[in-house]
Amino acid sequence: MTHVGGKGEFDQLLREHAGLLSRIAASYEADRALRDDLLQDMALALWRALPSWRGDAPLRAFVARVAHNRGATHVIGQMRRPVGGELSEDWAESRHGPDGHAELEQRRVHLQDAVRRLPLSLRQAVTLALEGFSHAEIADTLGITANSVGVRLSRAKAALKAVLGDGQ
Amino acid sequence: MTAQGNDWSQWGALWRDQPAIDVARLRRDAARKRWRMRVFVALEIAMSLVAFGSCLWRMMTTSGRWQLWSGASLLLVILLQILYLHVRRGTWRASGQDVRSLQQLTIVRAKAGIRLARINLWSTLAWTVFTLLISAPELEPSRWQADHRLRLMLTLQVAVNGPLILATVALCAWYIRRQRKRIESVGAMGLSEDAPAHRI
Repeated sequence: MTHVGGKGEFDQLLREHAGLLSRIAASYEADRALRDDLLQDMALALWRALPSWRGDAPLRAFVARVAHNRGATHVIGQMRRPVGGELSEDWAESRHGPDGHAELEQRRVHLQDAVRRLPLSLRQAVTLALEGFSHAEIADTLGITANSVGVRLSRAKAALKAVLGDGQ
Repeated sequence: MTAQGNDWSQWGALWRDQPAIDVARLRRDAARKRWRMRVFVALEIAMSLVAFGSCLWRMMTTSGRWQLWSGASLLLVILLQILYLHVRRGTWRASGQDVRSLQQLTIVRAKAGIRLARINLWSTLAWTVFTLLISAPELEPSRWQADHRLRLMLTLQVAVNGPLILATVALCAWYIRRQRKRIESVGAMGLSEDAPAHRI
């Protein structure tokens, strides 16, 4: 039985999954301040949920599941569909200089916006697929069948292509 | 990931290239939030215990109409505590459900919250009327005009309890309206697995 309970271990877990958590939070909240709050909530939810992880599923899937549940709670709690996010300066400049890779950044923001505007059930499957989860892992994480995963991803793909076009 | 074509691969690469949050800051903020929640809960429990003890003590040391009043107040304190615990449940919820379960849970809790808020609202109003009836003899102008201490106590009661009662009524009305909107909003989210995809 695996157990991640200590403070140091929890910090390590946060460090290892910071990217995954940040991206899942970004799929639920466009506003930077609210996204930070959501990330804190996700970290708290993880801290509380970790004792229930028995190592029967990959830790990454467990983290994604907890984060998605917290994200869904956030959306339900906020009572709104997230609006399309604008490109905040620190977000954009955190990886690229002012004149570097602007087009790539723009494409990434468009993708974030498009994912955020998906209905919740599709959005969760999409973010996991984008993280590289297999259909079986997505099904396991979301508690749905592999067939449902296929249906959701197929619908989501059509919706994303309609917005992003073939060039993305 | 099973093959979903080039689109998923390209989108995935783009997606995973997003910047990650500063973990040290996240940990600090989360720890601060955790402590704040604990402090709030501790304060709330302490205040409830003080209110509960005070009502119980009054019930045991008074008699007649004031004993009845203390009993009613004790009941109101308990009702309020149930409402606060109910409202807080959402923030302490364990993360184990899927989205549709969360949706259903939210609706069920919102409805229960509305019921509790109504109970709280009407019991507060009833408690106010009941208090006025119980203290009718002391409210006679001839009594408090002649008694300086009674006048001071009544002034204090009105100054403290008046705003508290108004705030409770306003809070309940706001909470009921908010829960109604939440039910409408969650119902309109269309999380059914078989529902057609929303247009972006």
